[in-house]
Amino acid sequence: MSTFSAAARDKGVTRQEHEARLAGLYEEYYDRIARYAYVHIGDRPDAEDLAGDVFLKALQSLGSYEDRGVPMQAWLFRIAHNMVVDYLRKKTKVKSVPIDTVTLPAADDPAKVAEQSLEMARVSRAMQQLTPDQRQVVGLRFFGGLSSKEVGEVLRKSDGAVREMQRASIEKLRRLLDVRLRGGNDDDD
Amino acid sequence: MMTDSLEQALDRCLDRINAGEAVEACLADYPRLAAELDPLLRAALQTRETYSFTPSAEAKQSARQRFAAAREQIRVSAPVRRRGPLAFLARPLVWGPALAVIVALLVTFLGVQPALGPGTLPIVPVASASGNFAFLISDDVNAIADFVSVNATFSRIGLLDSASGKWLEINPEVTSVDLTRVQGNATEQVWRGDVPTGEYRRVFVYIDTVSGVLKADGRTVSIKLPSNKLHIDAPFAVADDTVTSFTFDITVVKAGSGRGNVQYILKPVVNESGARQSPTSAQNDRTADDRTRPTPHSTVPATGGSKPPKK
Repeated sequence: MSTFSAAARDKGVTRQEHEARLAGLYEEYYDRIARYAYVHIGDRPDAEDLAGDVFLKALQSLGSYEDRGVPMQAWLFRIAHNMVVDYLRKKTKVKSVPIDTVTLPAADDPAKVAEQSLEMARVSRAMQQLTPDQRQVVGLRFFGGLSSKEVGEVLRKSDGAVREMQRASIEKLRRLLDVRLRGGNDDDD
Repeated sequence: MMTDSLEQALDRCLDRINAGEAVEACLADYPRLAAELDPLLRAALQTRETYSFTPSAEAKQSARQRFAAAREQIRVSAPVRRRGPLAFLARPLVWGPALAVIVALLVTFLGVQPALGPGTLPIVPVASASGNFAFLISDDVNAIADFVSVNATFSRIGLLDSASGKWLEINPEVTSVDLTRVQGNATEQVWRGDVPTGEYRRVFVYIDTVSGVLKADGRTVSIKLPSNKLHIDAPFAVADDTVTSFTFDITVVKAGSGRGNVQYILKPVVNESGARQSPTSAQNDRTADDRTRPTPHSTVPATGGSKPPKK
């Protein structure tokens, strides 16, 4: 639905004002959305395209944004999430990031590239061990840069629930990545 | 010293780290929880840094232009708009004349060069007169009748390989097209050669400049580009035993009305674009082409040849 909502008009908010606000978010949130998408789809050019498409979709759907009453940046990530899901459904029909298609930046040092590739594979494997909700929280919190309250608005959960999922997911990542206390005798693993 | 629970402390520290603070600065505020927080925060950082990347300036600029063009389109068409503001991005324009023109650029053949980025195919099919792939430009008319000439220059063509997710880039030898000279059903080939067999799912053309000379007053006007990288999602396959001809349809559309309020925009037309295949009767193709297209820039009357059926 692309029409501007009657509810929004009643609040005295013009479509132009919302367009301007959306445009104002572009510079900061394009990058964040691209990173968020990259975590899920593992393809940088496609993540960049998807980030651009999110803003076009948002422009088209300003009416539905009004009706939902959430911060615009959280709403953008809802759109991004839906587009990521569509992308994965169409492209791979698998739930996980295809590690072998993850693209890494070109670097002069082949050893560094190899090291990055191994690290990417290791972290990707750890990410696959998270539940879908946990991956969402990590994606939105770490890469989208949203606060836990904003993540809650995207996922329609309380911020307390988000904090709990966040702790559980980071704890799982810590275990899988074998991150230990610096200088300590972490005997957990 | 702060007295938050572990979950709250972790949350606050992540906020602070997201804002640019160091892990140590946050740990210093939570000495009682530092031993638990430290590995958690470092695991979070490690994950974030592994996936961190900065989108290319080119991609961001391209998306910014698309966004700006979409806003502009909404602005100028709002009074008469009957569809969603971005309908023009997803389907053919409903407010322009429904004429179909096919431009065909007959070509001299070129090599495919390795792409610049990491997501491109490293190699280099050989261009040949009897290759398995031909690329054509077409033009769905819309506002083309307003112009004496519309010159579009383009520098690169890209094909996205479905299997590898990598781009194959082609440098067309014919890089400038006067869209007004290629109306009707004619098609003109801009490149033909051999590309790796397989499935492709997206095609782009880098448009460098577009300008037109108006019939009305002879003025040269700049034609806006929603992006200098126009792309179309249109899956197709290339095989050895057939010639796959991909037609990329672009059109000039008019936005706004009244003096000084009119602008022209170049856009891809999805439902007029796509691929069709024919037996490797390169000889037949070329015979037909040669009869009607003695030079790469000549126009060809449409014989239903190259343009794909409407989607």
